Amino acid sequence: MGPPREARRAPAPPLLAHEVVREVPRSWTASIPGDGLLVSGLGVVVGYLILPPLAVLFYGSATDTPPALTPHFTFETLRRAYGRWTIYPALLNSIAYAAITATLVLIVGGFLAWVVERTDSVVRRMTDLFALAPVLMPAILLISGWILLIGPRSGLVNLMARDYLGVREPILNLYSFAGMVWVGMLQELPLAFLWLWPAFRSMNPELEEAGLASGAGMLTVLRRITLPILRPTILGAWIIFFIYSLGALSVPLLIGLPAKIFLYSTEIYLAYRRVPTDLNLASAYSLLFLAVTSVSIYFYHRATADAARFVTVTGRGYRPRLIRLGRWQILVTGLAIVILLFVAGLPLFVLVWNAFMPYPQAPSWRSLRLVTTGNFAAALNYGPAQRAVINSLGLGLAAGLAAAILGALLGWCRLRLKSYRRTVALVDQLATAPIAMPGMIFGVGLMWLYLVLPVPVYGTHLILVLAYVAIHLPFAVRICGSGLAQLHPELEEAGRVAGATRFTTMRRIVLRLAAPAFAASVLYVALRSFREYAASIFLAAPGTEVFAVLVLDMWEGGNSNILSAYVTMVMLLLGLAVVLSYWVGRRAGIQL
Amino acid sequence: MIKLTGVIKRFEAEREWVAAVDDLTLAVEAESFFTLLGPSGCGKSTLLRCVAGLETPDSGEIEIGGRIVFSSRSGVNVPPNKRRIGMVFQSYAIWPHMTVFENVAFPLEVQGLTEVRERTAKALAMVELQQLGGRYASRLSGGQQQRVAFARAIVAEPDVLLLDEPLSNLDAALRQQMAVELRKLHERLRITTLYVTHDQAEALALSDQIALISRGRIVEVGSPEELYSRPRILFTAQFLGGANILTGTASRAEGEAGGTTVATAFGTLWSANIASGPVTVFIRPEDIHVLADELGADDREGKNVFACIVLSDRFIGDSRQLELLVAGGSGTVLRCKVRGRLQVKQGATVRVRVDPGDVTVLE
Repeated sequence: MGPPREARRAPAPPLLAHEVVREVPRSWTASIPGDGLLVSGLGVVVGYLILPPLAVLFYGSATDTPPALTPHFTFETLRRAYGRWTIYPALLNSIAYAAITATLVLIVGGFLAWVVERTDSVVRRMTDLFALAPVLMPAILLISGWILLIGPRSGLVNLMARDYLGVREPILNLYSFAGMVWVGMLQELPLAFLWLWPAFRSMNPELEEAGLASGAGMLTVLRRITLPILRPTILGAWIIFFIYSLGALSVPLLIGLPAKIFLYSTEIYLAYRRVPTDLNLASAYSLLFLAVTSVSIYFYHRATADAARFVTVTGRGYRPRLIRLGRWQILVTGLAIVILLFVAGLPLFVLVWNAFMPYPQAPSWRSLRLVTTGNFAAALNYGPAQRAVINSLGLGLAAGLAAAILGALLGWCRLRLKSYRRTVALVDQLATAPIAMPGMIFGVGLMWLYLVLPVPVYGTHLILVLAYVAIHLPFAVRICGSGLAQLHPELEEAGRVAGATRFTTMRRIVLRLAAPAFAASVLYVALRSFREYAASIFLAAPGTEVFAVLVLDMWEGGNSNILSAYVTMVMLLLGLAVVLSYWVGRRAGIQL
Repeated sequence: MIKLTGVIKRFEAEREWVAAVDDLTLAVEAESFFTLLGPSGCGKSTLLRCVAGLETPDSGEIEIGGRIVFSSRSGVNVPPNKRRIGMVFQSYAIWPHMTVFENVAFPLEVQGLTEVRERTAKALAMVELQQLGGRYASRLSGGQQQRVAFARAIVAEPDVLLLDEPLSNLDAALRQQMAVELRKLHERLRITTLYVTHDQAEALALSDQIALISRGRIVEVGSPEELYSRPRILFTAQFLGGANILTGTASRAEGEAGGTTVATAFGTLWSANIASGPVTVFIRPEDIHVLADELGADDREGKNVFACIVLSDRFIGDSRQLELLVAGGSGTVLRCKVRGRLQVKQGATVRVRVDPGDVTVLE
């Protein structure tokens, strides 16, 4: 609506067309120049984000000279890396840790997804909370929360046991393999939930109803119908969590190191941290890592290729039949709530409690006397604390925007472009490859790359953005891609036929309709980048400190109360930011 | 108004190239309502999309209003937004984030035309949606969405109007109603219309000309009456309405009535067409008349009168569909359509008669 455009009559149709193309478009020929430019542009950008950091690892492994010096090619580095016998137990530890964690995560996460999606448990309404709240929480928060809870010296549980039960030895020690697995599992639970819940949602309920009609009980249906059908999804999810756990750094560092349990990722980190820093060794170690994760991804594709066969979405969009829990209600719901508490509730409580305490204290009516706000002031004044938050926010947003734009463009090319299909598929594969690359790999790779290249990127904010975009690109591609896939192609075609150019159609129709997915992508990547740790620890420098790394610093400095205050404030800030974006989104959404 | 010459469009399907449109040549007269009719997957939608510019043919030429919009020989390919067409999509493609008014005004805005408000209001009035201008498009019923789509297609007064199975998503009653309205709108606006459907009843009701398409090729072109009553190809006879297909040998008939006798497995058929040698004939079910039991005047000539046993009887409401086994052991089964009120007993013997003029010889 609005005033009519200025009087410009439709031009009389000329004898020949306005736009002339030299040849009839076929799949590889340059038809419309814009298309080719877009696809090659995307290819270059995505390729640059992902390939050089990888390639450079090979380079580093093949030399024994630090970056920026004349390279001396040798096998010595590889021999040093894989000749040391201590690396192999570390690898085994990693694999054991990853396998056990992945299995537990799957069981518990699957249970939660099932409860929320398929039963009539009252906890169903808490889905949003459960899925979203942990995204706000940095891994550090979870870990520090549990350390504060069951750490041997100052863990609240142990303190309370000492105070109230007179027990001298800590009853629960987080610094153990079991402790690592426990926290590792809790850390990935929200993601497992998010991953598995849609699978439960889209199952055709008639498959299970047929089982019930045939006389099978609820458990039998679950065992012989539901689970087998979901097998590809479950298998794929297991492999993904296996890879995540392999690449985990925060748990192995904060819990494993003090417990003298060495994982493969810790070894890579230690190679970097030793004096003098041995990046060549770190690169050499990373190669094996890459090999293991690549093999895992291969199996992932094998497992989920079958998924298409098992897809059960009816297309009619009605919700699956809910299972009545009856007398199981209390048990099941109770269990779900307890899990929610473990993942979010307890660490939060412990954190907030400690934020107000001058030193680690068991919660009691007595200790309430000690409540102080001194920690907050100290946190604000702690070195680069404020700068770190600002950095992390800005970097997160920048990375979120960049990743979302790439993801949206790539998704559009994949869904709508009729030519260059093979190139687009290739770029798409490349963009989702970082799932197999732990953040740490990018950390080492990017550090190396920009020490070698004569461009002023190392030690700047840019190197962090590059890392974040690369690491989270698969998420952006997936979120924006599915948002675009929801749009019927005819909506765009109608715009074209009505006379709009490609650009106008994108602007007035596609982007407007895909805006929610786009915003979700920006938000999600921004939040994950805010929490990002494994790559940041290699790439952050004085001036470009980031939140997650600073928190680790505080922890190592023994300032757990100041740390608690700091994290509490930041979480409030993040929570506000998310609420704000939801509010803005809803305002804009009303016009949709 | 629309001319297609030698259009070929191939798609890759499982490592093989399949021609969706296979060397198709067609001409649509100005102001006519031209339907592309055919079974699913015959290429009619692909052809429509080629005319719209949403698909690019592999070769051929397409001309709209005397202007070449596509030519593989001279390398011309006008993009869809410059072809001055209006199109109604099968899913309607109404933009959910805009109001009805904004949807319909869109073509005027992006083509830089004037009098947006007046022309939009006029288009909306034509489809009787004047009051709904301010409503968000996502809150409309199927029928309303279809009207909005139509208004949007005609608002910029395009040279041609393309309709891609616009009625297939509506329920039966609404479909009939909208079909009638479509025809009325066409008569009012007189825009050249190219219509795609797989529903032969729709095609017969709406069109000035029908092109029957199968596997990317044109089978036959003609007016609804021509194609229904005097099809030349077997496919046409079977696709448009029921048909009893019979084979036999034809020879010239004696007598002043002229025509042809066809010797079939179950008896002699008289046809008003001229033919000789082995032929295929067809008879429409509604042209087989069930005679009253008593022998009447019709029986005197004895031409095309056969005794049959009623195998099955289906009551449709306004009509009754019978399956009749022709007596004599030939095993020939005829399908016959009679008035609903006629009482027939299963297993009874009846006599039927076909007028020689209703026995059509196919090429």
